[in-house]
Amino acid sequence: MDFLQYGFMKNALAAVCVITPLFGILGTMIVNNRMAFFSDALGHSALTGMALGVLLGFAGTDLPMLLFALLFALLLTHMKRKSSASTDTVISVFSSLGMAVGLVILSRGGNFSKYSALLVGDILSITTKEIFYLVGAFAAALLFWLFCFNKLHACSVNKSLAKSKGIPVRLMEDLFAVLIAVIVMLSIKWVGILIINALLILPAAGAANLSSNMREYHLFSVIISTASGVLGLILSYYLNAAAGPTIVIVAAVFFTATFFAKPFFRS
Amino acid sequence: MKKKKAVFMTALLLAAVGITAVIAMAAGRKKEKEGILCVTSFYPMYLLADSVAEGAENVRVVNLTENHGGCLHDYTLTTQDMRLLSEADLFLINGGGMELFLTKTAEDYKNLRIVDTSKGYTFFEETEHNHALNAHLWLDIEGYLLQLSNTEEAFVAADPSQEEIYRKNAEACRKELMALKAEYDEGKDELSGGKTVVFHEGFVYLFHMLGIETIHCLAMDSDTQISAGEAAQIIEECRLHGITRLFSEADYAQTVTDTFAAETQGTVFVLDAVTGGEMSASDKESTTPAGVALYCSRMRENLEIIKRAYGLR
Repeated sequence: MDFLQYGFMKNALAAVCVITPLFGILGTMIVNNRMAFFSDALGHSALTGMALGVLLGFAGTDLPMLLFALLFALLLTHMKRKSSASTDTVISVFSSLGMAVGLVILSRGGNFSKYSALLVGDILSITTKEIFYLVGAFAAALLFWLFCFNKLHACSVNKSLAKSKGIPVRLMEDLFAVLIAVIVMLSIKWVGILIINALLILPAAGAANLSSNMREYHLFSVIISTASGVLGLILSYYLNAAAGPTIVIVAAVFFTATFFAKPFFRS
Repeated sequence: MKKKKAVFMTALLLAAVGITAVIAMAAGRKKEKEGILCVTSFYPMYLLADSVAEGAENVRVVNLTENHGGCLHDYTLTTQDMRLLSEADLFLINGGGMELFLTKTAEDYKNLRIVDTSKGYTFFEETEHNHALNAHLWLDIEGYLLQLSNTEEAFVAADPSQEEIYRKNAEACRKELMALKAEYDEGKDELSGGKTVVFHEGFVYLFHMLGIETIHCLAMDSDTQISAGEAAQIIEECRLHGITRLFSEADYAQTVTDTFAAETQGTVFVLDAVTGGEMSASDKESTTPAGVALYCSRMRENLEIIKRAYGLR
């Protein structure tokens, strides 16, 4: 346990203990609502958010990133509803545009290197203040989960049926999109654009392999996500590897194990 | 079925924890906490620190970026780096904005003595439009001499008991660097007045020493995509000034420089920015401390290549 003698590891561990259960819960809802690509596109839009912040002369890039992500998420859900093109096409367009605009602005004058840390993330640079933000986001996600999960789940099963039961489908979808946007933006600096989606999807996908009801599904997802986070962080410390990607690799190992165990539980 | 799943999940978690514990035990390091640990941010700093501390007892000089080539622009710290820094007594940096990762580090390690070796140096700016500093001062021999002095003082302050060794090493390095500077001054007499285009920001300093004007510098050392407009502008400038000699760095994309050479009917010469590599046997045998001996031999090769490029040898 000698890693706990360093301040940066304590902070990283605290952050991981907050982020990963959150990702576990959120991941199940994302997978249920078939929004895996949506969260990926949101991650990509972080670059544009940051670029606009730089361009407009914001002191920090956090606020413009968050505002842009909210706008982006709501616009994307709106387009998804309106457009006749298939969902993955619409999301793809938004995702690439979010990335391209960001790259064009940030790479002006050959300065992209200043921002490239955003691609792989840097969980070791997390501060105590930022952990409190994460705790706030965690509480918000938990409230949403407690009060809205059933409604959101009904929407994901059948929108017309949900509507007929008096569930505000559009509001639920928008709220969920906003929630994903906030959490993705709060964690992207530490997790990185390239892998944030893996962390959201892998634990839920692993849990889906084992579970036969919603309760198990959520429980397993949170367990896999938290275990991957904590063990991945510790491994990255001893193997001198980047923390975010190591966590993803551990999550992938969990997924593989559950994938092969799946037939055993079916029978 | 429920019980089976619970058993499976528990077994899976236990296995994962077990594997992590085994890896942790295998990789766990014994602390070598004796004497002075000096960490340098990257290669040119490492060469200086290693030279000044050569022969000193209980002094370890460790380079953060493990002698990999290239500048530090987009470097992010790994856990091992953070651990190294938390154990260090002295952290020598290049300064001038090269260590972008440092703002956070300085906040995290309030007890770490961070020495900016470029303190007192007047940097060039990167371009007219971009007022960031061109941090590659080690390719200006006078800049490197200043860095040497700052490194020497940092060691003396951190470990006064071995002051004599540090002073003696630094003096030997200074003498060799002055000799190198004299060779460049001689070169300046022959080369002065030329114009060129370079593909590494550090070369601006190198050519400035030789009185050669850098018309355009394309910073290939940061992970840059060149825009078509910028490429066209450079080619136009080359044609306008009749520039046919382009200078690039071995580490960076040769295809780009070749494209420019073809467009301008020029030739690309490859120089060494001294940002990586191992010390050779001859460097180690040299009477000058090995790090600075390596720097000087690389810089002499650069001078030879430039002279040859301008038809002097």
